[in-house]
Amino acid sequence: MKNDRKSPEFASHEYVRPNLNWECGHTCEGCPCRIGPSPKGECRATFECSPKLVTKPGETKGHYSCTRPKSGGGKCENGPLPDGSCCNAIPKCRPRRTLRSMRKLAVVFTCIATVLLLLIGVSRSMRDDFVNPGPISSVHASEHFVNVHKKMSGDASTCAACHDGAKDGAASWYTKALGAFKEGLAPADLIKRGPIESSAMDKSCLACHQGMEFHQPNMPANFACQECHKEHGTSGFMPPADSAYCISCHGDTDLMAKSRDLGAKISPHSFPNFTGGSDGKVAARVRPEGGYTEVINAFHTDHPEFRQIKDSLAGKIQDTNTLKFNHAVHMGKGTMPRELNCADCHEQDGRGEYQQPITYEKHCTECHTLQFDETTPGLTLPHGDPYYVRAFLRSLNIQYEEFGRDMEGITGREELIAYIKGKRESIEGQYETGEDLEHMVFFSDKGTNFADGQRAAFTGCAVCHEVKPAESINATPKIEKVAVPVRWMTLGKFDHSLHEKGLTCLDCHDVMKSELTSDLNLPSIKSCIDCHSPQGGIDHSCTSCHTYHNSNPFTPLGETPAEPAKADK
Amino acid sequence: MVGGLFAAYVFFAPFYPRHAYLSGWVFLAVMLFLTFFNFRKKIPFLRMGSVGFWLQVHIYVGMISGALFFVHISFSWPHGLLNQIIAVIFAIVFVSGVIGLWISRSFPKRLTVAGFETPFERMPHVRTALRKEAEALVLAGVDNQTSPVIAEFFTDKIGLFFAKPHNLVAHLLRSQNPQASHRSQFAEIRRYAKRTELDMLGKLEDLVEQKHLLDYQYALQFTLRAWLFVHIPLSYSLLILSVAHIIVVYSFSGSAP
Repeated sequence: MKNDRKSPEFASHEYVRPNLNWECGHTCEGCPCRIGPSPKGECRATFECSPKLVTKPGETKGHYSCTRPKSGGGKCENGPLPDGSCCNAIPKCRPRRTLRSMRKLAVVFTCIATVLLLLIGVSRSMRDDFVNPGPISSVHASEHFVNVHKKMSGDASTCAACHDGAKDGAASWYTKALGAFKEGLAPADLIKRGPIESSAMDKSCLACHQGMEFHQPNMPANFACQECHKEHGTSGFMPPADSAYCISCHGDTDLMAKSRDLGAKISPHSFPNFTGGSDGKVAARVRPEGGYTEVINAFHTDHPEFRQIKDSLAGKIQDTNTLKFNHAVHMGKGTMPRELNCADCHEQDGRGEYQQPITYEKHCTECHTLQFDETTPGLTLPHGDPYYVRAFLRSLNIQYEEFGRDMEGITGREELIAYIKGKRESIEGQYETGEDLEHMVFFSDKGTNFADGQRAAFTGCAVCHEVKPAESINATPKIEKVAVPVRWMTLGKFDHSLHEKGLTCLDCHDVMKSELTSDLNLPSIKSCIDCHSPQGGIDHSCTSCHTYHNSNPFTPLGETPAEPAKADK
Repeated sequence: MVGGLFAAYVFFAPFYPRHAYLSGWVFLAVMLFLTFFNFRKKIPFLRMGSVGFWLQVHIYVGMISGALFFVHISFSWPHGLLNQIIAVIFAIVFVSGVIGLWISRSFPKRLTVAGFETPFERMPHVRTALRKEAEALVLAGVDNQTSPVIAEFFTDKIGLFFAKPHNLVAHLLRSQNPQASHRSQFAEIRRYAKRTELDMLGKLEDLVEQKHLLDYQYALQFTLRAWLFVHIPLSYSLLILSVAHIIVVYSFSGSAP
């Protein structure tokens, strides 16, 4: 409810202008002098009036008259003194600043304090801490890095390891800033789309790290290291590059088209080779036509199907391993001496990422014993080289002798001769000739009936391998080399151990119906997207599978690669 | 607005990697505009619109500066001493601006409703007039037969109350405690007053009531001016630090030659 008490009345001519810097010291007492302080804040109080000499007609001397205005109380009772001075001296005061003036003063003091703060901040002892925009990653903050930097540059400031601005001190910042403004950070540059192109600071990175040609050579431009590697964010590991940075190129139709055109002009040999060597452990990856320039905006929306899957469906790629392997049989119930599971053959490597290679000795020998003589269960053929197999078969007397002595414990000469003789007669009873035995060992398959009606009592090499007849009389049959790739998808990394939680192998690898070795049995991208998507809730960033760099770009600091020893001349 | 900017930031930032520089420059331009808003008063002859219009623009642009600040710091609190100092000062300037806006919108109404409106510069005069009137009232009523209790009550409790502004915080908080305290003191002293003195006590209480109203006016009007002591000096400090920030950022950027 409004209070109806009226405002106090005051004479309008006594209004104090608030824009003055000084006011009379008596203002707070409610009785400021009429003159007021000077603009510099000095008290100008003297007397209440300047008496005026009045000479009436006929008078010679005249008399002084008070000139105090009505606003000051009018003429005083006592009047001026005989000497013409006012009898009412105004008491002196100490003028004080108005609020407005005090605010101005506060602005000036604050500005001075700010400049002082800046000067202290950029002084040599505090500079690095003051301007540092955040903690640097553990690697660049390590003592080793500091020592190496000191050794390389002689500068104690680790900021100078990356920033030229830190090398020359604060005095040079203005010119450097002006240079940056003109060169790469002019207003027109700030609205450029796409990643930051290679910059002067990259040179600092390259002092320790390898060159920048570590992505595809058909990139429209080399991009600055800082585009992906964001320093001053955390004191731990540098955070992985955000997918958005990958998509800023790979999601850009124009850039991808430009990249595709560039790639067409570049020699195919310029592109990184991921054939993985000649041992066949890593499936060869042939660069797709047009390169990796399909427009991708997100893994779960438009990432293309894995090339291996796409190419296998199109018949362009299949497992060329010569080993005959039927997953359906091996995983089937009742078809094996004992029930097998995936881990019986597929063992993870030490890091749990990939599967170790499958070897006959470790994974096949339990069932595929290579026994050829029904009467001698422990005597098995050697595995690995057909030459040794043939040599084994052609030296059966010796093999029986060694087996009898070592395995049967027959030590007497006569008994040993009798043992060998018995075994010889037995095997000769099973096969008509040594050539027949050799032939069956190499070529017999399950249920193979040879032309002469003979049938092997065992399963030979041909059960699992592609065996070709000998090309000359003394040559051995040729067995195609087995090559089981340990990795098919070489463009992305994968960690099997991380996927064991809540998933079985069969959830991704549908092998229960796979009867052919040529089946890739790799999961489609759809099964990945089930989890690696916003709906699935699992990380679906580009870097969770891919790396930007073709190889490890890090060269250990302070260490030079060993050079091959030179022969003395 | 901040939500919309955040969505736009998330969507567009990866495509414009120098967005921090861009938002920084825009932010500086906005700060310059806001800081030198007062300069309009220095050039009234240019007729660039009313003060009210420019104040409204200042408020809107100030609000936008808050959103721009979030964009510039990428929606995360900055690290580093210099950056944090700048961020803290901006936060103080922004919050003081918001408080100032609230004060300048709400206090004038309170001042009008409270009554006894007095220009700030005239308050010492009014206060002195009230003091003199109170003193004259008490002196006129005091004679040899007057109870000494009333004289002591004035010199001990009331006299100093007229000397300067009192109970500023209580008035800002709209507390009636100071008035209630004085009323109870007057009720107490009336018990010792003669019938002839009651009239004088009534007038004195009215003067005390007027002084309370004057203090209320003073408290609110002083606050209306005092918040600028935070807002304006720190705005200039922010500008200086921002220029230093730009120089540091540009000289330490990868593009520095």
